Amino acid sequence: MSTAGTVTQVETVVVGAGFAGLGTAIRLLRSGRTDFVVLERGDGVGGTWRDNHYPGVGCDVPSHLYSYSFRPRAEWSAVFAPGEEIREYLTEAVEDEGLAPYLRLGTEVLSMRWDADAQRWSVETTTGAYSCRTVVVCGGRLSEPRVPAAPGLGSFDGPVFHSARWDHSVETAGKRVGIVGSGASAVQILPQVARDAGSVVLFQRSAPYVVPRENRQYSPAERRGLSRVPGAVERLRSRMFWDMEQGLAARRAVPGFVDRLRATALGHLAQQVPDESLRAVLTPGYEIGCKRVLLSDDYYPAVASSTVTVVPAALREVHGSTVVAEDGSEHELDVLVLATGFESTRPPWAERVVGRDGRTLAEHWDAGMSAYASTSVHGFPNLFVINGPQASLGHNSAVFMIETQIEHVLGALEHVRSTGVLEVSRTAEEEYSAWLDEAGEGTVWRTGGCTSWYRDDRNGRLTLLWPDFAFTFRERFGTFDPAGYAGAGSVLG
Amino acid sequence: MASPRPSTVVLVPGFSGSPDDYAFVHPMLARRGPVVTVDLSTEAAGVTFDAQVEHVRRTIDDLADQRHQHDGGIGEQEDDGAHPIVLVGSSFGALVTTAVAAADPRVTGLVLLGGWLAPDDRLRDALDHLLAVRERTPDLLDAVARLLLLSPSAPSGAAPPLLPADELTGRRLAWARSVDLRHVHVAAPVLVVTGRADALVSPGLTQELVGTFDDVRYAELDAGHALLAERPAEVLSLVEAFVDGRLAPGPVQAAQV
Repeated sequence: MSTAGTVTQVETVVVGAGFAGLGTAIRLLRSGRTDFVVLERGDGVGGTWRDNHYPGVGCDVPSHLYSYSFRPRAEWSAVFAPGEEIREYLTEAVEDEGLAPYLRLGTEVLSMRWDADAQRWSVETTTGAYSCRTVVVCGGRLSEPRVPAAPGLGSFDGPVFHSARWDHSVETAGKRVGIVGSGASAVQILPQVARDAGSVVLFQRSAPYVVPRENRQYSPAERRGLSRVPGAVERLRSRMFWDMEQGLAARRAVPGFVDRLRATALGHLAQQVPDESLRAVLTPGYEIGCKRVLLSDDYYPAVASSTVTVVPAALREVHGSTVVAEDGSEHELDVLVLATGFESTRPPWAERVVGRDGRTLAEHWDAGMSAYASTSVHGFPNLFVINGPQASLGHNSAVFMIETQIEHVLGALEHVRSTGVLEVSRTAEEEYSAWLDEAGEGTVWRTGGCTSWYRDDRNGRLTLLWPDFAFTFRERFGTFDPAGYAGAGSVLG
Repeated sequence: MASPRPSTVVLVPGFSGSPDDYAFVHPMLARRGPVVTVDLSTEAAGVTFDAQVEHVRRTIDDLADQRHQHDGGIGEQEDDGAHPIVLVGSSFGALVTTAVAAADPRVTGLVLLGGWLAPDDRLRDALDHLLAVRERTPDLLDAVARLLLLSPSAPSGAAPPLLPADELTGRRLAWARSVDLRHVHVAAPVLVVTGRADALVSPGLTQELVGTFDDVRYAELDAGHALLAERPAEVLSLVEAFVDGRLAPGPVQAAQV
């Protein structure tokens, strides 16, 4: 790394210090590369797990699988460890791997611009400028809160905050709390808030499918056993992975599999919500799997408690402390929690990336995100996106996909060291998108009759999802192959 | 030159004879190309081992006929005669598919899941016990089968039956006691998949199987004998890789997690 004037010269800039960014940094460092920096706008690492610290936050993938394969951890406290433990795991990784010298916290990227003459990226940040040969964008897909455009929301009389910006100074005990949204965050927040709130109003635009979570703590003996028996953690992880892979059958609407999953969810609802009219409100009107299937054992009991009122409608507008739903009902509230998800199909950071032709990545993606191998975009040489377009799963661990992309990118970075520039052809990117469109046909994500974060509402395409097994993504793209960047479908199979 | 025809994968079930063995693998394999699952669970599929072998062979004949007709028939398109078939046999089905593959050059690949060529004392004992349970306490057969055919790490709870107590299942258990295929020769590439915790098929039997073929790949899974019940997705990944020609001879493995 060198500093020319006020511009720091570096081989690789990694943007973001969540699972993807830290994983990339660890693998770079372990492969002997020290000529990189990790830029992170926040004041700490952890990405999603730094931002989301709401009551009850946790992951719906078992922790032994939702962690790096190259940093197995025998000490997870539970099958689904709390979010704070996941954040600590990432913090520990920074310490153990010696990443601190490469981290630039509190550094927000303002722009990234390809300099065709220098064949380098110019990266402007809030703390200085960088010039680098390669950029690895690990901005995360759950990093930009989506806030409803309800008139008057900004002038709500009480505290109002997004679930990913939880204000712990706000007391909800005894208060009238509104929770907007019924997705993955709301399902975790509501049971916690409902414990001591005076009342809770849940604004539910569409009901989620919820299946049993069946979480449990690992005993000290189990944890010690996992750490002492060689290969035990790896075997557990492998079993979890291959079990979860079976979930694709339901997402591909295979009869029997989708029927069993639906029956499990509706059976869970019937068992936990005796009231028929409430059950009707909580019964989804679309096929299971179309939206993310949620895991909870305490959501339905909380919703069915006398503290909670379900309003089967989205937020319409706010007047003072009166919150009006789309069904016209009005609710007097003291605190409003927006569990309304994230800008996942239109990442705001894409507006700050300017490629070879002077177009922003957001402009390139104005009809929906796409990237060859879910990683590389035509017109944006030497830039790689991890955990961005078409890399998310509805049935297995995001970390497995992230690791696959990291290995692909490490190969690409080595390639760039010898060739100078790597840019995927338009043909390769288009063929890849077309192939994914075809692979997504007939899946519940396309045919399930819902709107979801998997689908881009501009075109109905699955621009976030890899619509197949996680293992096929690893097989096809876990090893970098420059031939695929030219197109002609050589690696699509 | 005509482009290579995609292989048709023919799936042959185990002791149950039921296509349900492939409830996951069949529709998922169908993502990549044609798949057929043979039903050996009824008397229409034969009441001797040789008849069941013949039933599978006839299934391949039917597939060839269908594809020939689909291609336009004689005189309309040059027929290169090749309708590549990859046979997949699980447990008892591995015996059937091995016998078919040895005699049928249309079989261009063979996958054996928890297979063997001839029983040893341990396997004969296990088959005898299962036969005795089926005879005396049929209600217990599936529970006993679970203990014997699944590894101790397999999830407990409701699952489709592994071993129904019907007459034909009993016959297949009995045939497996006596069938000996150690003399066969299979020219096609073979993939042998076995469970590390297989309580039925010993490592010695698996080694004999692997040692018999000239062109063989070998994968070991963290599972018991009933690989399709315990690790169906991992089996699928190996079968797909084999069918696509992505597995070189020797030890192979699914994606490392």
